[in-house]
Amino acid sequence: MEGGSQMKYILFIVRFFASAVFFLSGFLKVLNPGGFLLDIQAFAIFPYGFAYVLSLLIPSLEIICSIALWKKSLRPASTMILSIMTVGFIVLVTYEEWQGLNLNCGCFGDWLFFPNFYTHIGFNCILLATLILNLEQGDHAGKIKAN
Amino acid sequence: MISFFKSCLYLLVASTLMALAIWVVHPKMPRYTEGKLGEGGIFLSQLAENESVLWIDARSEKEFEDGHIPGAMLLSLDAFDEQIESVMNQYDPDKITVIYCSEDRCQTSQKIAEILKREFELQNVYFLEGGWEAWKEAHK
Repeated sequence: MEGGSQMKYILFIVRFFASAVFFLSGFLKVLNPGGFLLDIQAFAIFPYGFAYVLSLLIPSLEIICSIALWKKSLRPASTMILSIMTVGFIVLVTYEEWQGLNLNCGCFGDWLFFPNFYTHIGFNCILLATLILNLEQGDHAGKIKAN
Repeated sequence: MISFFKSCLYLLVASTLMALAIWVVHPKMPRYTEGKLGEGGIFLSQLAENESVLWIDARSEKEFEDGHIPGAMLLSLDAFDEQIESVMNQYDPDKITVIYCSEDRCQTSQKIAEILKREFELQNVYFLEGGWEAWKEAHK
């Protein structure tokens, strides 16, 4: 019982962290969509039209899915979407490092500055882990309660 | 499984609607024809040799201290609010204002150029194609 209680609080903190990071990132990108569009274009990977759509869709997805994390029925879907986005950020940052580019990917808006590649990747991996933990422990906690 | 895909669909539809709303309503969203990278750039060769230019360095403070274009002012994104006043005091609409950052594909200078043009309505603002590297190369 006590273990279940502790797990509940840990789960809450994990979910709060993931939700807060994505909500804030999405919100800050919405404040400056032109800046985020430039960030995407700087990678020179996507055609301009696709980059334009992404500059609108990614912040919206971040905000909507970060809120949806708190609704049980939407949690698996929002977790999956946010996880795919996080994996995408990891790939982009790795590509940037591999190409020797000095870019700010704009992945988390301008509020988070990472001193180097490893801290950037590390943060993204922690974020991915919290999303997976949030989903898995959410199911597990549900089963403990049912039993 | 079906409810999972339904949830995904709801989230994607909601996000798309939000994205559309941003596109229509947001005052700072560049129109499709205005947002393309590379517009608003200027090459060193386009500047006359004795042309009076307000140089703005968009790199970090450390990079600025390690070397910068003579007479350049620092205006970085992370200290923008503290530094903008000094820049505005030096701004002259009859002079060309050129912002540069570290290399050809660094987009900070373009971001700052956009901010100065859109939010501060400055005229004759460009970013330097090739950045600091281009200037160093030309002044070896």
